Amino acid sequence: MPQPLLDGLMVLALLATACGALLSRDLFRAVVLFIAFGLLMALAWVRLRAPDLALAEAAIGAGLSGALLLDAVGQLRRGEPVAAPRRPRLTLLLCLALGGALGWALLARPTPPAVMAETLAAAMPDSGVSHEVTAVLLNFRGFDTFLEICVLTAAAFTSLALQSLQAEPPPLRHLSNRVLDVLVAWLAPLMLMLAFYLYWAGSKEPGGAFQAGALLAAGAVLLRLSGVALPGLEPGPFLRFGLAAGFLVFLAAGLSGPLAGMPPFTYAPDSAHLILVSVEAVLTFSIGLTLLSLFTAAPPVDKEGGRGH
Amino acid sequence: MTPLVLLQCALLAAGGAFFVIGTIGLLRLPDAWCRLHALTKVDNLGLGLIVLGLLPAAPGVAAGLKLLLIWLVGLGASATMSHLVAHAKYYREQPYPAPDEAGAD
Repeated sequence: MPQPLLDGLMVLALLATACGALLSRDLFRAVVLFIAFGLLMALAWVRLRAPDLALAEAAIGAGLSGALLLDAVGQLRRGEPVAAPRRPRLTLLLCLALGGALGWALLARPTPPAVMAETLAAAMPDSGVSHEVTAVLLNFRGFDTFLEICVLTAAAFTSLALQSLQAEPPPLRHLSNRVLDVLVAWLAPLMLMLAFYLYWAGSKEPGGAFQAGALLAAGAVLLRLSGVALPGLEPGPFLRFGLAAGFLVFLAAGLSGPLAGMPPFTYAPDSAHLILVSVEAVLTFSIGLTLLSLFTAAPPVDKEGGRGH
Repeated sequence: MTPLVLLQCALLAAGGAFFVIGTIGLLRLPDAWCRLHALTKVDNLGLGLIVLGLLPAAPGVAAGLKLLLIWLVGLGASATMSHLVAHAKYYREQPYPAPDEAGAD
C-alpha cells in the first residue's frame, strides 16, 4: 500500500544517516550513524515487503556489524581526526552515476515478474517447506547459498589465522557490572529461544538459518562482553569443526543429489523437508560461531594505541 | 472514527511527542549526565505510549504479548545502557576515590 509521506520521510532519513556516517570526521559518530542507517534499512525492507531481509539486516547490519565497528573504533587511537577523502568530486560523480544506473535498471525492467511467481507457486509443494523465500534460498537456488556459505567459511578461517598469530588467546576484555549481569541473565536465554524460533519458523514464515545464526552470534557477543567465558572458543578442534560444519553438511546434502541420479543440490520431494531442516540447523550453529569468531579474533592492541603485532 | 481509534491516535501522537522532546533534550542539554536523563526517561515513556497505542489493534493475544515483551526488553536495555554509560563516564573523568574518601560525595 503506497504511503508517500512515510516512504518519502524514510528515504530522506536513509540519505541523511548515510551522508552523516560517510562525511563525519569523528569515527565514533560515524559508527553510531551507521547503526542507525542499518535500523532504517531494516524498516525499508519491511516497507518493500521483504521481512526476511529486514530480519537479517536488523540482526547483522544494525547489530553485529555495529558491535564489530564499535570494537574497532575503541581499539583505534581516539581523538585523531579522520583524513578528508581524496578526489571527493569524482567519488560523488561515480556514486551518483551508479545510483542513477541502478534506478534506471529498476524502472526499465522488461517483463512483469508475475510469470516467475506462478512457476514458483507451482513448484512449492516439491520444495519441502512452505515459505517461498526459504524454498528459493535453500532448495531451488541452493547452490548460490552454498557459495555464500563458502565465503563465510573462508572468513571464519581468516579469523582463525588471525588468532593463530598471537601467542595466547586475547584477554577477555569485559565489563564487570552487576546491572549488566542482571540484564544478560534475562536476555541470554531469551535470545537463545528467539534464535531457535527464527530457525524453526523459517520453513513457514520469515526466518531461517542466517537470521537465527546472527541472533545467536549477537547473544554470544553480549555474553562475552559481560565477562562470561564461553567454552569452545579457544583454538582447537571443536572450534574448527564448528566453523566448518555448516559448509561440510551443506556440501554433503548437495552431493547427495548425484548419488540418487539427480543434479547436485537437488532433493527428492519427500526427503526435501528433512534435508533442509537438518542443513539449516547445522548452518545456524556454524553461522553463529563464524560471526562470533570474527568478533573475538581481533588481535589485542598495545598500550600506545596502535594495532599490536 | 470510534472512540477507541481516537484514543489510539492520541496515545501514538503523545508517544511521538515524547520522542521529539527526548531528541530536543539530547541536542540541547549541556551535559552528558543530563542527556542520559532525557534519553532514558523520556524515550522510554514515548515507547510505552506507542506500545499502548498499538495494543488495541494487535491481531491477537500473542501479538499483544509480543508488543509488551518489546516494551519490557526496551526498558531493560535502555536502563542498563544508561547505567553503563554513566558508569564509564564517571570512571573516565574521575577515578574512584580511595576507600577512606568514599563518603566525600
